[in-house]
Amino acid sequence: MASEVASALLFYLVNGLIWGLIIALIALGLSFIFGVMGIVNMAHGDLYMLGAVFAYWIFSALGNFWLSLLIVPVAIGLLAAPTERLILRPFEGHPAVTMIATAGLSFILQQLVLMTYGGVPKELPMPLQGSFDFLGVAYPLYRLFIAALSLVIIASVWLFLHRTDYGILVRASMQDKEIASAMGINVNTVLVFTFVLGCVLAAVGGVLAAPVTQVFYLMGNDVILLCFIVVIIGGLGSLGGTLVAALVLGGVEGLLAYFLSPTGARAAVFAFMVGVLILRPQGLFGTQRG
Amino acid sequence: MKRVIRGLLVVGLAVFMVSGWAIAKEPIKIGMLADKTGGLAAYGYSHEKVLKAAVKKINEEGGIVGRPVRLYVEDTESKPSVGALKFRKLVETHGVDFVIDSNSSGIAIACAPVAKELKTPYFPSAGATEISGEKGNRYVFQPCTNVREECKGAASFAVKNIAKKWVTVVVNYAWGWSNEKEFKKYVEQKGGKVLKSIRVPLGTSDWLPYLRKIPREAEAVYFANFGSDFLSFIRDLYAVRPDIKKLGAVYVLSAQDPAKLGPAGEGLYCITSYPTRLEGLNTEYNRKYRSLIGVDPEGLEIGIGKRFVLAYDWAVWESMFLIKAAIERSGWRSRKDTSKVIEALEGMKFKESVEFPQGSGYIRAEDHLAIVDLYIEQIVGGKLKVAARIPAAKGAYPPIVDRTKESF
Amino acid sequence: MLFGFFILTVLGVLMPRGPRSLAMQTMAFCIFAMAYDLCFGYTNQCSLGHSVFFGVGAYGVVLSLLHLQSGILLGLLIAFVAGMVVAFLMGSICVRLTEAYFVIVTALFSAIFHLLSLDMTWLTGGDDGLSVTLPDISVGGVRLSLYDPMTNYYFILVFFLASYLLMRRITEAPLGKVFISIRENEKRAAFLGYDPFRYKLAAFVLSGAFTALAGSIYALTLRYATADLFGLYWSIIPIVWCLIGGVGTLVGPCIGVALMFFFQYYVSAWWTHYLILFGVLILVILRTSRKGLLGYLLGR
Repeated sequence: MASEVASALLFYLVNGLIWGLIIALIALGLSFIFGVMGIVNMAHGDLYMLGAVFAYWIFSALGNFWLSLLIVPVAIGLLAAPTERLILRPFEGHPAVTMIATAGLSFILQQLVLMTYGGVPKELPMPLQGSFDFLGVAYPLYRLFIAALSLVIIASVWLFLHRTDYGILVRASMQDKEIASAMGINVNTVLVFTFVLGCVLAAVGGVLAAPVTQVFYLMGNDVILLCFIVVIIGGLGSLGGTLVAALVLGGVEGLLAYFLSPTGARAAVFAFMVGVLILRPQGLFGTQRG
Repeated sequence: MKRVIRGLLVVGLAVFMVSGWAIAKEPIKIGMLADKTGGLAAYGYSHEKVLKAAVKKINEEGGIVGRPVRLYVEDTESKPSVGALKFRKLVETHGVDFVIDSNSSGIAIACAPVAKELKTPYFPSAGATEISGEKGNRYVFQPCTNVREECKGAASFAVKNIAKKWVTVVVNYAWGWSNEKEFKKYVEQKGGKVLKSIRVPLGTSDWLPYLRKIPREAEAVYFANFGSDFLSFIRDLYAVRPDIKKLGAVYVLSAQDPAKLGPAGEGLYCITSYPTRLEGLNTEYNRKYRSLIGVDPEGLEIGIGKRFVLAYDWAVWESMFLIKAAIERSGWRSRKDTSKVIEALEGMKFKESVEFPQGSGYIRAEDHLAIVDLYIEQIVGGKLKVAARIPAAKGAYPPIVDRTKESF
Repeated sequence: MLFGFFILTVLGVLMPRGPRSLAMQTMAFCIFAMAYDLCFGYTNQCSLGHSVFFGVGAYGVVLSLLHLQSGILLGLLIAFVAGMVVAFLMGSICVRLTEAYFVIVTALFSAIFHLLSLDMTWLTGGDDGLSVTLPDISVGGVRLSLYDPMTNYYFILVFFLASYLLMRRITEAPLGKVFISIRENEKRAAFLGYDPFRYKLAAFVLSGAFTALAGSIYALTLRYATADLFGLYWSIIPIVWCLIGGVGTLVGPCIGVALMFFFQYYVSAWWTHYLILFGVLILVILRTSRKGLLGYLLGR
């Protein structure tokens, strides 16, 4: 009996952690865009949705899921760059204003997708068919693949920021835009680049999640609040913090789901987060104050 | 420039105030609350198309008692607060005499008191039992089946033909809960047993943790979820218990292609009030009905090829013809005759026809609920087949309220 | 603004029923918008938790009517006080936090209340909500029924006017000046001896109480309350009202409300996807003037 409970708990924990990784991937882009540009991106969840919708379209047209991992980043990049330059640039640095401007963008994106894609949620078949026995459940192999790929992407973003020259420029702009500009960094291209990178991360999250969740024009609304929480709890501008916070959130909620009703579990996690923020208002790993 | 914009604003304000003044008297005005955007957008789309087809048919055949029908459609955004506002707009601005639809029980319950206040008969096509129970009133009709009717009707089939030991899995909100409660009640009356009840939040993409709680000895699962929740559920259930038998509530399969569910969906049973494929109810009336609403025998939208949500569409269609019949029988001329129309509707019988393609039935006088046949569908070889037809009498439960004693 | 109220008084008689119903709902939301700006525009606290007060207000009046048979006026008072108490409790936790943390913690409160209200159906009716039959109001021997559209209209107008006058009194009083000085420079205000925390908390609590009043009046016009009123949507939308109408004023947010309802009520009937137009409008207004439509119209 005891071992049964233990294996159940282990299952919930691991499953929660895998979901945490997907959230981390999306939240990373959000954290980036906020850290460097001061944009509170309410449309971030919709980029996740766009990634999934594009993946669905690509799969329907070409019959291949993996191609979307190549095409979607390019397509989203082509959309995001002009959006930043032409629409969002004047608002940057004013969090409340960017919040509403991006909320406006979010309305537009959702309605455009509703017009073209329709209001019926659709499913993508699993691109990896296999499953393995995980504590009595035929656990889909594809989920492990997502977890691994998310980790790889997060690690490469970290390496990029800390080990390449351009990454250092980005981090410099994150800390102080004016000084960075005075040092001769072309802040303009850094801004465009950051926004594109952030959006692409969200869209890739959407592509990866598409076969696991369902493709629906309002699916962005489900993740946006979670991502904001993760970013803040992790500490603004802290990549590692975002990752850890996402894993903690996923894991704790997974564990609580065993003991409490589903809404109860989520409410308890949120209450726990409020507690964390009151005790450590700079977040788990944050150094600077918001 | 600024002066122009100021001017435009003043003109706009004036237009805004004056609009709605001119209300023509001649046509019979029908209002529709369609869930065109928001979570129920797919349902709103199909319901609007169906009701427009019904109005077109009536007008082509000379209208109702010689008067044309004019339809006003407003979007509820799938939100109760917006729905209630739009209900008022339909009656107060457009001057409609009857209001049809909204697929959401929340919206129907929010609009019920407004319907009474504005003395306007209301026909929501939503499935909550309360609509024909404590939350309804004399102005509210439930032209579709409701959860209690559906569970009671399906219970004996479930116990006899599917399994004895059940577990229920429902989405965590009112519609799910009432399915959980009613199914348990009626299945246990028929000698079955519900071992465990599991609730899962709306919009959960990962159902594995919840489904892992299904006890080993359970033989079958009764579930209530739809749209993306349904797809995630069915896929994850296959990972946890590929062998378990499945019975879904009305609605679960709306607009889903059963072939795409693959082995996870094979053999699944589902309660429905209207067979998805023509084959399940292949009558001359249904062929006509489908051609009028533009849906082919497989349930695809003609010319577009997309799956059409058929679920409660028939109830939207039939609401229009219930109104027509009631007007003709009661001699309704204008709003002041509304009480006559309601009395005509109470207890009204209808016969299978193009107007009532779902089959014969009646509106129960006491609680304003439509008593009609039900079906059990099953996915066989990737296609939906009708496994059983359940006569209306099996689903009918004693009415909870008596509206006929309520004053207007 | 007072001229505007005069027009609203006259229009109450002249308007046909449809626009009058819209005006009633708009006025209830104007109270919400002004209350929100008291917190957002005057003390620069960008709360995402106002749906809590809105929902508490709505349920405050509906539950008092259903379970206490309290009568409408007492019900409104209960809702107002409940909003104040909840805002005080929430504020004493949140107000100390700086910007981004304040935003997220208030959003978390909104989410927690929403989840709990969905779960506690025995109290809230959950998603399906609770309907209520409104009793008559007796004032000095006169019985008024809110089912009479005209009475209902003037009833809301009175509360709208009273809320506006009270909030204007607050913002023009020394208290309001302190609010503004905190918004402009928190440190300097602290040097002058004003404890920013206490003043920000005061703004938050007042804002919460008036938001609850708006929620209760809205619930009375719907004759209904639902868990949906606690949703995050109702926390985000007031920021939209304030920013497109004109932040830091009482009139601006009302313009924002009117604009949005105009779109939702009229434009939606012409074009289902009106939110696209509304989104473009938000971007254009923000681009033209950071002070919203009001700032643009008054500017030179």
